Amino acid sequence: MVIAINMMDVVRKNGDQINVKELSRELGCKIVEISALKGDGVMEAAEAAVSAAKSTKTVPMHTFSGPVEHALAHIEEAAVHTMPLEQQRWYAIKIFERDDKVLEKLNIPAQVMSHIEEDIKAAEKELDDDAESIITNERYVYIASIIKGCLKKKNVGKLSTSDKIDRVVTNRWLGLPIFAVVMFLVYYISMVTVGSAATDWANDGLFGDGFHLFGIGSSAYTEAADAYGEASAIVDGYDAYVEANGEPADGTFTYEVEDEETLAVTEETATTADYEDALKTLDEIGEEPDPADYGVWVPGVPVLVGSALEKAGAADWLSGLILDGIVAGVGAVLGFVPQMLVLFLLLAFLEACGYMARIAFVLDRVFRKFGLSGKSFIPMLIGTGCGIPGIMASRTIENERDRRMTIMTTTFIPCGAKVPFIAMIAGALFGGSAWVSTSAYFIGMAAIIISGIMLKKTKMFAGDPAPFVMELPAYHLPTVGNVLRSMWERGWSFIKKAGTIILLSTIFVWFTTYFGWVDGKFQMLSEEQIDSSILAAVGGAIAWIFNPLGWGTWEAAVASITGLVAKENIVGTLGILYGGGDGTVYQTLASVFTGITGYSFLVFNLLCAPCFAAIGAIKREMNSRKWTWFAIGYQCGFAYIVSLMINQFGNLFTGHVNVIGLIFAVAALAGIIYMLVKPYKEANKLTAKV
Amino acid sequence: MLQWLAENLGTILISAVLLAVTVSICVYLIRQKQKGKSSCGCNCAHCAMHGQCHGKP
Repeated sequence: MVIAINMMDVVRKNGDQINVKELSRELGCKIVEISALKGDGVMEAAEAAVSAAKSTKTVPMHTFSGPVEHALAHIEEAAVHTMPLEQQRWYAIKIFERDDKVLEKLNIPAQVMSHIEEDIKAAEKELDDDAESIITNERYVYIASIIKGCLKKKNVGKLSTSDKIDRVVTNRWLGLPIFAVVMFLVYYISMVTVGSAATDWANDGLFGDGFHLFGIGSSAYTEAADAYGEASAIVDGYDAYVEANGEPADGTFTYEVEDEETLAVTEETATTADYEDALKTLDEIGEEPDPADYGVWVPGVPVLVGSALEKAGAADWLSGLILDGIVAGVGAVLGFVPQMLVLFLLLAFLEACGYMARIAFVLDRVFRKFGLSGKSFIPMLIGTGCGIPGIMASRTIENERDRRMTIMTTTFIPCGAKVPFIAMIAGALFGGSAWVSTSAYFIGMAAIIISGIMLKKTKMFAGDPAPFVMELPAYHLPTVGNVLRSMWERGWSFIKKAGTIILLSTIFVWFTTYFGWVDGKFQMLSEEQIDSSILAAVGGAIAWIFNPLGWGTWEAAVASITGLVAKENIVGTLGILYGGGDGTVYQTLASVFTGITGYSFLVFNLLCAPCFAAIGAIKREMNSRKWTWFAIGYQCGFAYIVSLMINQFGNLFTGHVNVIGLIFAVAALAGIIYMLVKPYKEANKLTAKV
Repeated sequence: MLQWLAENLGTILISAVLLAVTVSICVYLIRQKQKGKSSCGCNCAHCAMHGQCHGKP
């Protein structure tokens, strides 16, 4: 056996001393000092393990007190003597502890078990404690005796820097508000500042018309284009007025201005003097400004692909498939890569520095009040990258009911795949506000807590919360390599997925969008005919379900359904249906959704059933078809109710009340409140003797 | 026939490339599935439980 002592860099930094020779003598094996973070001593530990594996030297065994060893000897003889020698002691200790799983596995005859029970009771009586606590206590006493002789702390009784930080960030009252601020900053930096600038470039430049190299000439071009656009609108308005009325009344006329972001058309008033100025401006600028005249203009991917297809003489349907389908769909998803990378980088930093482990500890206190344990936060934490490992991480929860509940609720947290559509809604309808992404994170967390409270009050999930023990490593600065590797692993997976599943999905969506029946004849459809497409027929058949949520259009319904293949598909599908490759997705979204209906759409797709891959993971972990369907049904039902309330109560504030919808929303809210305040049937406190 | 082929050569070649890409992706995804890897595309190497869902490295 070889023991590796990790985080030795922190031990040395704190000025503490570990007497490795003494520890090695006490434990009877080689001790290697390592720092996994910095990679110090790792190879030495591996080499020591290899040589230990070749050696036949046995490690001295820890012995318990006399009464316990007496009972263990009896148990070994009575129940496990047929097992391999090296396993006998472990099983004997587990039987002594009355471990449910081991007893169930061994299926010891009742007569033998009653004999063993007498020995255990005798030891318990002599040591005045229960069997499990005896073993735990004796082990801790043994550990303490070893540490006493081997560890010298520099600052005994003094708080370390890490402890001082913990006093603030894990404070009973400040812990959660600080967490909220930290998460807001994470989303603000990734979605609004650094990430947004890069994503705008990717969406409008790389996957749009093009961009000026290094941004040189970009502002001069924008200025000229704006001046040209406004002057043209004034001249068009004047011409239209004169054509209709002969000449402008009292020297004024109106002209139409289209908002670039929302496509909303507003009427402005201008005078004949403005018209004269506009004519001068047009005269000065001449033709419509060409971006290539203002700097080195790099055409976007759609422009390059489009001209290549034209030169190759590709048929219209093929150009449509590639430009309006693949490039628009995959490009819409890839456009979010910069934001995703920044988000993954910040989350990796929070995880690696030790802050997220503290949040599990802070949330344990909150979760425990609602019958959940902090263990349920670990899957949620992992689920921010991808829901599947999050679901798998629920295996650490021993309590079957808590485990099932955690599996059902883990995917409420926005995973990496959900971030693009959240960012899309935020960008199109809320001016890219960081509040939208942050609120999505906290809505996911609130959904987990509310579901936890409600489900714990049902017979299926009632029970005591499991104890939560977790090591809180000292705060430390993670290495740049580790953080970048974590970011790249998640980011590359996202890019790979866009090139595989998302690409196939966009081909499917394009074909079903641009082919359909017109006048009883199956044919390729034009932009204006896509309401007759196959996808429109399928979406239209289910769109009514989402009417009460405020987005009962076939496009939105179809986007939600394709999101089940992969959540990034929501962005890809909307990119095809609303963009068509001409870069107007955001504008069309802004004209189709309102802030309320857009947020309702966001929340539904955030909380409803996850992608098929995650559903597969749920099925594997539940190991039951019934429970899998129950999980999917609960997720979709809960998402529907929350989105219904958002839309109906939102409409109440804006004065667009739908009485029937409002009645259902009030009834749903009353039901949730009733479940939240209803008393627990069973104890919600942990009572365990330690 | 030859005239039609000549007129639509660009479309035929690009369609063939697109078809090959699509088939390659399908084959890749099926192989990944057979290897026990999830279609989620996520790289779960950092997760302590990844050996459970992604059977082989």
